[in-house]
Amino acid sequence: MDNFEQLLKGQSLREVPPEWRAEILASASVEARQPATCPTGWRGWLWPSPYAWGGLAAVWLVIIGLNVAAQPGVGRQHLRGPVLTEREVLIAMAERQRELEAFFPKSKVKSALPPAARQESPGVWLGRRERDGTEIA
Amino acid sequence: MPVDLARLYDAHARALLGFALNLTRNEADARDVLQEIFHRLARRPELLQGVQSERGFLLRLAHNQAIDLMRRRASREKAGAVAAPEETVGHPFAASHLADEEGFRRALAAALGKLPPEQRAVVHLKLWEDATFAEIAEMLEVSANTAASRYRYGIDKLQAELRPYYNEVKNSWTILNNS
Repeated sequence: MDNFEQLLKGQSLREVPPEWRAEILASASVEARQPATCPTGWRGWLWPSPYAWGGLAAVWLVIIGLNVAAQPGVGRQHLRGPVLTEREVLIAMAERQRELEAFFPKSKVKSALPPAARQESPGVWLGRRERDGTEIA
Repeated sequence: MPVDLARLYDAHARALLGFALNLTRNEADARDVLQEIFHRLARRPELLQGVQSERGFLLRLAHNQAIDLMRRRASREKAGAVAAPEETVGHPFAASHLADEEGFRRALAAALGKLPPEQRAVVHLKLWEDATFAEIAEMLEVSANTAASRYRYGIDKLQAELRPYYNEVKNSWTILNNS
């Protein structure tokens, strides 16, 4: 510490006004006798800023609610009826094809199946689609 | 366990008031800080359990309380609810019957008032509480390096501000030593 710092350090701090002692200690003893102001139970969790924490919790609830409501399919799936699998669709298409062939000459019926599937059995075609990982839209 | 508030007051009130006055620059605010510290201790005496340095702990409370109070005051002033207090309503130094010394103390108080509160706090704790930088760091919740650099900046500014007074004092010391 240099001379300047020593000079500053030598400046004494002022005394506390004597009348403050009794006043401060008396008010502190009154404070000590008062029951705790911090609430208990669920309100205690929100202490000391119940409005701020409550508001934040409400905002989170709204965000979670909107997030759940915005998920595709949830809550609406039952309105669309049963969802057919790829296999079920192809079997239905093949049955339709057989029905048409029973009523009309073979040459006049235009196949509903894709060209590749027309030359193979539905099972073979299905196997290849599943291997390729392609799906029916 | 009840806490002996009277003993704590007698042992630390002067230091706490000096620190609070240096930070807030306002006697009413400094008194509020002092009172709030004792209210908190009265409400929650367990705060002092396990505390190694009573003085350090109380100065930390005073610092936090003073900062809160200054922030509240600043926001009220910004909102126009209260008028800004005069800068030198309260200064932390004892009055002196020597005119030169009194002048120097007033100039020192004014120069301290020009420092940012964080530098003022470190300078106060180092010079008038004799705290080490490690202790100051713990009290103010900063690193020891930060405390040391704030002290150096603060002292440099004070030295620049008080140079004319300091030169006078140095000359009078030289005269006294030579006589």
